[in-house]
Amino acid sequence: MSATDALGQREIETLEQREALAMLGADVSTLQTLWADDLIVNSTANLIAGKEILLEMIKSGRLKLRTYERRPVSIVTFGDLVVATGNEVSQLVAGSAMIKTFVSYMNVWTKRTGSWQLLARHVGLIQREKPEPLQQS
Amino acid sequence: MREDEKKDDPRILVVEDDEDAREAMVALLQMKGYRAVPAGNGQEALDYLRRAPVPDLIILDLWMPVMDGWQFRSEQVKDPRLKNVPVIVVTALSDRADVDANEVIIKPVDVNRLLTTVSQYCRREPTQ
Repeated sequence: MSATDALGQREIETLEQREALAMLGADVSTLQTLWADDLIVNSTANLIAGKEILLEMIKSGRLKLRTYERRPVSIVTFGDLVVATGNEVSQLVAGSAMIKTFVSYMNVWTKRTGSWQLLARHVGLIQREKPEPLQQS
Repeated sequence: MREDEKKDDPRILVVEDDEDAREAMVALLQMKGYRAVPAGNGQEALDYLRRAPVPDLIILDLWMPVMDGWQFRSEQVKDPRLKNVPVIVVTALSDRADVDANEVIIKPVDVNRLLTTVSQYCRREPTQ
Protein backbone atom coordinates (compact mmCIF):
# COMPACT_ATOMS: atom_id res chain seq x y z
CA MET A 1 0.00 0.00 0.00
CA SER A 2 1.36 3.41 -0.97
CA ALA A 3 1.62 6.26 1.51
CA THR A 4 -1.09 8.08 -0.47
CA ASP A 5 -3.43 5.09 -0.18
CA ALA A 6 -2.81 4.84 3.57
CA LEU A 7 -3.60 8.53 3.95
CA GLY A 8 -6.79 8.06 1.90
CA GLN A 9 -7.82 5.14 4.10
CA ARG A 10 -7.39 7.12 7.28
CA GLU A 11 -9.38 9.98 5.76
CA ILE A 12 -12.19 7.59 4.81
CA GLU A 13 -12.19 6.02 8.29
CA THR A 14 -12.79 9.49 9.70
CA LEU A 15 -15.46 10.29 7.11
CA GLU A 16 -17.23 6.96 7.73
CA GLN A 17 -17.65 7.91 11.39
CA ARG A 18 -18.58 11.50 10.55
CA GLU A 19 -21.26 10.36 8.17
CA ALA A 20 -22.65 7.89 10.71
CA LEU A 21 -22.74 10.62 13.34
CA ALA A 22 -24.55 12.95 10.93
CA MET A 23 -27.13 10.23 10.25
CA LEU A 24 -27.65 9.73 13.97
CA GLY A 25 -28.06 13.45 14.57
CA ALA A 26 -30.19 14.01 11.44
CA ASP A 27 -27.55 16.59 10.50
CA VAL A 28 -28.82 17.38 7.03
CA SER A 29 -26.26 20.08 6.23
CA THR A 30 -23.33 17.71 6.92
CA LEU A 31 -25.00 14.96 4.91
CA GLN A 32 -25.55 17.43 2.03
CA THR A 33 -21.78 17.88 1.92
CA LEU A 34 -20.75 14.27 2.46
CA TRP A 35 -23.21 12.75 -0.02
CA ALA A 36 -22.65 13.03 -3.76
CA ASP A 37 -25.58 14.57 -5.62
CA ASP A 38 -25.88 11.33 -7.60
CA LEU A 39 -25.72 9.08 -4.52
CA ILE A 40 -27.42 5.68 -4.89
CA VAL A 41 -28.49 3.72 -1.80
CA ASN A 42 -29.91 0.20 -1.87
CA SER A 43 -31.46 -0.39 1.55
CA THR A 44 -32.51 -3.52 3.44
CA ALA A 45 -36.03 -2.65 2.24
CA ASN A 46 -34.87 -3.36 -1.33
CA LEU A 47 -35.59 0.24 -2.24
CA ILE A 48 -33.11 2.22 -4.29
CA ALA A 49 -33.15 5.84 -3.27
CA GLY A 50 -31.14 8.94 -4.09
CA LYS A 51 -29.90 11.92 -2.10
CA GLU A 52 -33.01 14.07 -2.45
CA ILE A 53 -35.51 11.50 -1.19
CA LEU A 54 -33.24 10.36 1.65
CA LEU A 55 -32.73 13.90 2.90
CA GLU A 56 -36.48 14.45 2.67
CA MET A 57 -37.06 11.35 4.81
CA ILE A 58 -34.56 12.55 7.43
CA LYS A 59 -35.96 16.10 7.48
CA SER A 60 -39.53 14.81 7.85
CA GLY A 61 -38.51 12.54 10.75
CA ARG A 62 -39.50 9.37 8.87
CA LEU A 63 -35.90 8.15 8.98
CA LYS A 64 -34.85 8.62 12.58
CA LEU A 65 -32.19 6.75 14.54
CA ARG A 66 -31.94 6.46 18.31
CA THR A 67 -28.48 4.85 18.24
CA TYR A 68 -26.14 4.10 15.37
CA GLU A 69 -22.77 2.38 15.51
CA ARG A 70 -20.66 1.73 12.41
CA ARG A 71 -17.76 -0.70 12.46
CA PRO A 72 -15.68 -0.69 9.26
CA VAL A 73 -13.99 -4.05 8.62
CA SER A 74 -12.16 -3.29 5.39
CA ILE A 75 -11.25 -0.13 3.51
CA VAL A 76 -9.72 -0.63 0.07
CA THR A 77 -8.46 2.17 -2.16
CA PHE A 78 -8.73 2.20 -5.96
CA GLY A 79 -7.27 5.58 -6.83
CA ASP A 80 -10.09 8.08 -6.47
CA LEU A 81 -12.53 5.37 -5.37
CA VAL A 82 -12.55 3.79 -1.92
CA VAL A 83 -14.70 0.82 -0.92
CA ALA A 84 -15.50 0.51 2.77
CA THR A 85 -17.23 -2.59 4.08
CA GLY A 86 -18.31 -3.44 7.58
CA ASN A 87 -21.27 -3.84 9.86
CA GLU A 88 -23.63 -1.56 11.69
CA VAL A 89 -26.00 -1.79 14.60
CA SER A 90 -28.75 0.78 14.93
CA GLN A 91 -32.00 1.47 16.72
CA LEU A 92 -34.54 2.86 14.30
CA VAL A 93 -37.45 4.87 15.65
CA ALA A 94 -40.68 3.68 14.03
CA GLY A 95 -43.66 5.50 15.48
CA SER A 96 -43.84 4.65 19.16
CA ALA A 97 -41.52 1.67 18.78
CA MET A 98 -37.82 1.14 18.37
CA ILE A 99 -36.27 -1.56 16.20
CA LYS A 100 -32.73 -2.82 16.70
CA THR A 101 -31.14 -3.84 13.41
CA PHE A 102 -27.82 -5.45 12.53
CA VAL A 103 -26.65 -4.99 8.94
CA SER A 104 -23.63 -5.40 6.74
CA TYR A 105 -22.79 -2.54 4.42
CA MET A 106 -20.65 -1.47 1.52
CA ASN A 107 -19.96 2.22 1.05
CA VAL A 108 -18.26 3.57 -2.08
CA TRP A 109 -16.53 6.92 -1.66
CA THR A 110 -15.22 9.00 -4.53
CA LYS A 111 -12.91 12.01 -4.64
CA ARG A 112 -14.37 14.91 -6.58
CA THR A 113 -12.80 18.35 -6.82
CA GLY A 114 -10.52 17.49 -3.93
CA SER A 115 -13.16 16.19 -1.51
CA TRP A 116 -14.37 12.71 -0.72
CA GLN A 117 -18.09 12.04 -1.09
CA LEU A 118 -20.26 8.99 -0.56
CA LEU A 119 -21.34 7.85 -4.02
CA ALA A 120 -23.01 4.47 -3.40
CA ARG A 121 -24.15 2.39 -0.46
CA HIS A 122 -25.55 -1.12 -0.23
CA VAL A 123 -26.98 -2.49 3.00
CA GLY A 124 -27.75 -6.15 3.73
CA LEU A 125 -29.83 -7.28 6.67
CA ILE A 126 -28.12 -9.58 9.19
CA GLN A 127 -30.78 -9.51 11.90
CA ARG A 128 -33.74 -7.40 12.89
CA GLU A 129 -35.04 -7.68 16.43
CA LYS A 130 -38.69 -7.40 17.38
CA PRO A 131 -39.92 -3.82 17.88
CA GLU A 132 -39.80 -2.58 21.46
CA PRO A 133 -41.75 0.31 22.98
CA LEU A 134 -39.78 3.52 22.69
CA GLN A 135 -38.28 4.54 26.05
CA GLN A 136 -38.15 8.29 26.59
CA SER A 137 -34.59 9.44 27.28
CA MET B 1 -54.98 8.46 10.46
CA ARG B 2 -51.90 10.69 10.58
CA GLU B 3 -52.38 14.28 11.72
CA ASP B 4 -51.33 15.67 8.35
CA GLU B 5 -53.55 13.28 6.34
CA LYS B 6 -56.44 14.73 4.44
CA LYS B 7 -59.69 12.95 3.76
CA ASP B 8 -59.22 13.19 -0.01
CA ASP B 9 -55.60 12.00 -0.05
CA PRO B 10 -55.35 9.04 -2.44
CA ARG B 11 -55.52 5.75 -0.54
CA ILE B 12 -52.97 3.03 -1.31
CA LEU B 13 -52.84 -0.49 0.13
CA VAL B 14 -49.29 -1.88 0.40
CA VAL B 15 -49.31 -5.69 0.52
CA GLU B 16 -45.85 -6.96 1.39
CA ASP B 17 -44.68 -9.58 3.88
CA ASP B 18 -41.19 -8.15 4.36
CA GLU B 19 -41.51 -5.74 7.27
CA ASP B 20 -38.62 -3.51 6.19
CA ALA B 21 -39.96 -3.15 2.66
CA ARG B 22 -43.56 -2.68 3.77
CA GLU B 23 -42.77 -0.02 6.37
CA ALA B 24 -40.36 1.81 4.09
CA MET B 25 -42.91 1.95 1.25
CA VAL B 26 -45.67 3.11 3.59
CA ALA B 27 -43.41 5.83 5.08
CA LEU B 28 -42.35 6.96 1.62
CA LEU B 29 -45.91 7.15 0.30
CA GLN B 30 -47.17 8.94 3.41
CA MET B 31 -44.35 11.45 3.07
CA LYS B 32 -45.55 12.11 -0.47
CA GLY B 33 -49.10 12.79 0.65
CA TYR B 34 -50.78 9.42 0.13
CA ARG B 35 -52.84 7.55 2.70
CA ALA B 36 -50.81 4.34 2.70
CA VAL B 37 -52.10 1.31 4.62
CA PRO B 38 -49.96 -1.81 5.25
CA ALA B 39 -50.97 -5.48 4.95
CA GLY B 40 -48.62 -8.40 5.62
CA ASN B 41 -50.05 -10.85 3.08
CA GLY B 42 -52.93 -11.38 0.65
CA GLN B 43 -55.35 -12.59 3.30
CA GLU B 44 -54.71 -9.57 5.54
CA ALA B 45 -55.23 -7.37 2.49
CA LEU B 46 -58.57 -9.01 1.63
CA ASP B 47 -59.73 -8.79 5.24
CA TYR B 48 -58.91 -5.09 5.23
CA LEU B 49 -60.51 -4.45 1.84
CA ARG B 50 -63.78 -6.12 2.88
CA ARG B 51 -64.27 -3.68 5.78
CA ALA B 52 -62.59 -0.50 4.48
CA PRO B 53 -63.18 1.99 1.66
CA VAL B 54 -61.93 0.84 -1.74
CA PRO B 55 -58.37 2.13 -2.25
CA ASP B 56 -57.20 4.01 -5.33
CA LEU B 57 -54.30 1.62 -5.83
CA ILE B 58 -52.80 -1.63 -4.53
CA ILE B 59 -49.05 -2.28 -4.40
CA LEU B 60 -48.63 -6.04 -4.28
CA ASP B 61 -45.73 -8.37 -3.57
CA LEU B 62 -46.08 -11.85 -5.12
CA TRP B 63 -44.18 -14.23 -2.88
CA MET B 64 -45.85 -14.08 0.54
CA PRO B 65 -46.93 -16.56 3.21
CA VAL B 66 -50.59 -17.36 4.03
CA MET B 67 -51.91 -15.95 0.74
CA ASP B 68 -49.52 -15.03 -2.06
CA GLY B 69 -49.93 -12.28 -4.64
CA TRP B 70 -51.29 -14.61 -7.36
CA GLN B 71 -54.01 -15.92 -5.03
CA PHE B 72 -54.83 -12.39 -3.92
CA ARG B 73 -55.30 -11.25 -7.53
CA SER B 74 -57.51 -14.23 -8.22
CA GLU B 75 -59.73 -13.29 -5.24
CA GLN B 76 -59.64 -9.59 -6.07
CA VAL B 77 -61.01 -9.98 -9.59
CA LYS B 78 -63.89 -12.13 -8.28
CA ASP B 79 -65.09 -9.25 -6.11
CA PRO B 80 -67.09 -6.68 -8.14
CA ARG B 81 -66.23 -4.00 -5.58
CA LEU B 82 -62.48 -4.56 -5.88
CA LYS B 83 -61.86 -5.91 -9.37
CA ASN B 84 -61.15 -2.54 -10.99
CA VAL B 85 -58.66 -1.32 -8.41
CA PRO B 86 -55.33 -0.95 -10.26
CA VAL B 87 -52.44 -3.12 -9.04
CA ILE B 88 -48.71 -2.49 -9.19
CA VAL B 89 -46.81 -5.73 -8.58
CA VAL B 90 -43.38 -5.40 -6.95
CA THR B 91 -41.35 -8.58 -7.12
CA ALA B 92 -37.86 -10.02 -7.32
CA LEU B 93 -39.22 -12.86 -9.43
CA SER B 94 -38.49 -11.20 -12.76
CA ASP B 95 -38.93 -14.46 -14.66
CA ARG B 96 -42.09 -15.41 -12.73
CA ALA B 97 -43.96 -12.15 -12.79
CA ASP B 98 -46.70 -13.90 -14.79
CA VAL B 99 -49.47 -12.06 -13.05
CA ASP B 100 -52.27 -9.95 -14.42
CA ALA B 101 -51.37 -6.47 -13.15
CA ASN B 102 -51.36 -2.91 -14.39
CA GLU B 103 -47.63 -2.59 -13.78
CA VAL B 104 -44.76 -4.82 -12.68
CA ILE B 105 -41.74 -3.28 -10.96
CA ILE B 106 -38.76 -5.52 -10.29
CA LYS B 107 -36.99 -5.42 -6.91
CA PRO B 108 -34.87 -3.69 -5.84
CA VAL B 109 -37.42 -0.98 -6.47
CA ASP B 110 -36.24 2.36 -7.77
CA VAL B 111 -38.07 4.84 -5.55
CA ASN B 112 -38.40 7.44 -8.30
CA ARG B 113 -39.93 4.89 -10.66
CA LEU B 114 -42.32 3.72 -7.97
CA LEU B 115 -43.48 7.27 -7.18
CA THR B 116 -43.91 8.12 -10.87
CA THR B 117 -45.93 4.97 -11.47
CA VAL B 118 -48.05 5.53 -8.35
CA SER B 119 -48.84 9.10 -9.43
CA GLN B 120 -50.18 7.77 -12.75
CA TYR B 121 -52.83 5.74 -10.93
CA CYS B 122 -53.81 8.13 -8.18
CA ARG B 123 -56.21 10.96 -8.65
CA ARG B 124 -54.08 13.94 -7.75
CA GLU B 125 -50.45 14.92 -7.72
CA PRO B 126 -48.81 14.01 -4.44
CA THR B 127 -47.13 16.56 -2.17
CA GLN B 128 -43.80 17.67 -3.66
